[in-house]
Order: sequence, then structure tokens, then C-alpha cells
Amino acid sequence: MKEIQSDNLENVYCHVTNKAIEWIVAGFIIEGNELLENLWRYGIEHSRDLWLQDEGLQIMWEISGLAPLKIPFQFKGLEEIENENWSRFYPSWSHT
Amino acid sequence: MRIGVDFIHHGVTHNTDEFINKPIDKLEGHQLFAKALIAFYKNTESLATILNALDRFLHSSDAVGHSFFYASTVASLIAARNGFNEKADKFIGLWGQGYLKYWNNYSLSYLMRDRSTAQLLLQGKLAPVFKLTEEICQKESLEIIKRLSERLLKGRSLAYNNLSLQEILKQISLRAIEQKTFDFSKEAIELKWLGRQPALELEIQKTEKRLATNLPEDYKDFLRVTNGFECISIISPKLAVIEKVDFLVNVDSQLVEIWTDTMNDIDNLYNKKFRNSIIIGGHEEEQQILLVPLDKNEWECWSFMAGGGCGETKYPSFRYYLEEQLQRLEDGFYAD
Repeated sequence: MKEIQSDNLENVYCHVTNKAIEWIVAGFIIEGNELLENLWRYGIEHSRDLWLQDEGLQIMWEISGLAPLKIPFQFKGLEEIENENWSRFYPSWSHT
Repeated sequence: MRIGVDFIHHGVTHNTDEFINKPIDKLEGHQLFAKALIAFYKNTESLATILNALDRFLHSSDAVGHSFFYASTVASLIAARNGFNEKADKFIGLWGQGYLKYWNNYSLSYLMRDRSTAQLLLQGKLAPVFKLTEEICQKESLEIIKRLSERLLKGRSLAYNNLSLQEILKQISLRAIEQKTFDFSKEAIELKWLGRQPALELEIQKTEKRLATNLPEDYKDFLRVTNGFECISIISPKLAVIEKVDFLVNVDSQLVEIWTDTMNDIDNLYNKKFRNSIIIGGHEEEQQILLVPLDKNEWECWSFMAGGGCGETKYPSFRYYLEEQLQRLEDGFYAD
């Protein structure tokens, strides 16, 4: 809560989004969506640092059929998101 | 010359010669984790064997911080994508427990960004791990929105206004030493203090004369409490003694030239600020703490890191920077 008072506005926006995501990850999608809708009402610019979270939220909303109103970012293809996600865990090798 | 293959995992190189031909059940620690990952991508072990290996790694003493996050994420994804739902539930539970301990190493997005794990998360299996209920979420939501409204109405303000600068520095010292966020000296641990003796008023005046400027009041108050301050973690720079306080351009002209050169066509005001900044911490470190003069004798404080093109994090004053350090310690940000 202290961050809301003293951090810069972009970080505050990210903190609140991440709090909503904590709830959504724990299965409280309605409560998380409500918090996000309330946050978006303030008209703070959507942070580009949240693109990973945005993509995760998109998948949670699409498979649950529970999307909030007035989402402030564009959706991507689900396959594209999953492939990029999976590629992050692909190990690399070098021959010596 | 060695003929072999290095396995590079998140910047750490493992020589696979050392373990690749050993049976997976004979390996431990990071070799076990690396072998499990390689076996999965090369399809050289059964999925059950690989998941058991990851499970064993997650219960080892090597699985801490980012390693724990990474291994529990991979294990959850492999299990869920391949229909091992019972195993996936178990790994997601471990992943959630890890988040409570190592939250600063975590990104919650990765398990949401795959339909197989997202489906399991939606079932609410982490609610008891996070100790969350609908009522708790609703109550917190009201509090967050109330605070947010106040923030937008009143603007940004200091969160520890009830504490003096000395009390803030004492709190930072106590918490950092208690959380062992750095390898502190024996003396600092005994004294429970990461500062030094105060700077003399005469030294402050001499420095202002040398730099031909009036330093910001909150920074002078800091010097009156302590002439410098130890770093509190590997990512927090040491605040310098007053003799070392100087214009950044005098201390590291190359850094100023390189950085302002890249910004030349983009932001002239930025360049002016950067060129006139005074370095108060992070001498010969990756990150610097700068006092940046604005108009009308006002100052910003920047935490600056050239590496990785990170650039600056701006604070409205030096005190905001110090308060953020205390806030991070309260949140366990620097604890592994």
C-alpha cells in the first residue's frame, strides 16, 4: 500500500495489476477483473512493461469466458503466445 | 583441446561432459536439473523419469530463488502439457509456495501464458497456498482503490513522513543486517549500523564551495547523520563519503560522453541534466546514485545503470530513494 502513495505512477499501475494477477492465478478471476476494471477507470496510461502479464491475462480470460470490460491492450494469437512462452525454457548449447 | 558441449542455462554454462553420460538417478543439484531439461528436449528419458528428476531437484537445497522459480515453472508446464495432471497440480502447488518465499525472482505470467497450466490455475488450487478468499480479495480491493483515489487526488508523497532521516537509516541498517542481504562487516553487524560518523559542517561547506553549488537539504541532512552508507545488497550501490562527491563528468567522463552521445538527437534536456549531475554513490560500481539539478535550486535523485541499456530510475528527491530502500527491505525484496 505504501507504494501507491510514494512510487511513480507507472510503477503504481504495475503494482496494482500484479496484485490482480495474484488473485486471478489463485482462481479469483472475478475479483481480479473487478480490480483491473477499477484501475483502468482512472485512465492511467497502460504500461508497456506489462506485456507478459497482458498475454497471460488474455489466455485466462479466453479459456474462462470471463473477460473484463474496456481492456486497454490488443489481443494476440493464443498459439503465438504459447510458442513464445515455451521457447523461453528451451536450453541452448555451444560446441567447444 | 576439449571436445564437448556446453549447456547454457540462463547465462550459466554447464559442461555437459561432466554429467551427460551418468544415469539421471545418480545426479544431484544443478546437474540433475540440467540433465532433466536436456533429456526432455532430446527425448532420451521417459516423461515420468524427467518429472521425477525435476521433483527431486525442487526438494534439494540447490533449488532456491530463481532456480526454484524456473524449475517449478518448467515442471508444471511439462506435466500439464503432457496430461500428467496430478503431477501438474503438485508442481503448481510447489510453484505457489515458492512465490511466497522468492516473489522477487518470480513472474506469475508464464503459467498463465499456456492453456494447459492456465486451466489448472483457474480451478483455484493456489487459493489455500496464498491464503486467499473472496472476502479477503474484496476487502483488499476496496483499500487499494481508496488509496489509489487519494494518490491521484493529492499526488505523490513520502510514505515514511513520520520518521526522521536518522530513523530511516537505522531501520534500513537493522532490516538489512537481520535479513543478511549482503556480506556485512563484523563491526557493522555488532553496531547494527551501516553508516559512518557524521560529516562535519565544515566539510559540507567545503564541498559546496568546491562544486560551486548548494547541495539539496535532504542530502545534507543525510551527511549530518552519516558520512556515507554501506551497500545493502549486490544491486544497491554504496553511498560515498563526502570527499568523493563530485560531478559525474569529473569521475567518469567516458560514461557521460557515451550516454549523452546516444541521447543527442532525442533529448537535449536529458543531456543537460546528465552532464550537470553529481555522483554521490556507486563510484566504480555498475550502478550510480546521482543528484540531478533542476531549475530553481531543486534536485532529482537518479539511480543510474548503463549496463543493459537500463538507464535511470528517477526519484523526486534523495529521500524518496532512501525510502524506497526501506520499503524494499520491508517487502523482503533483497532477501534470497
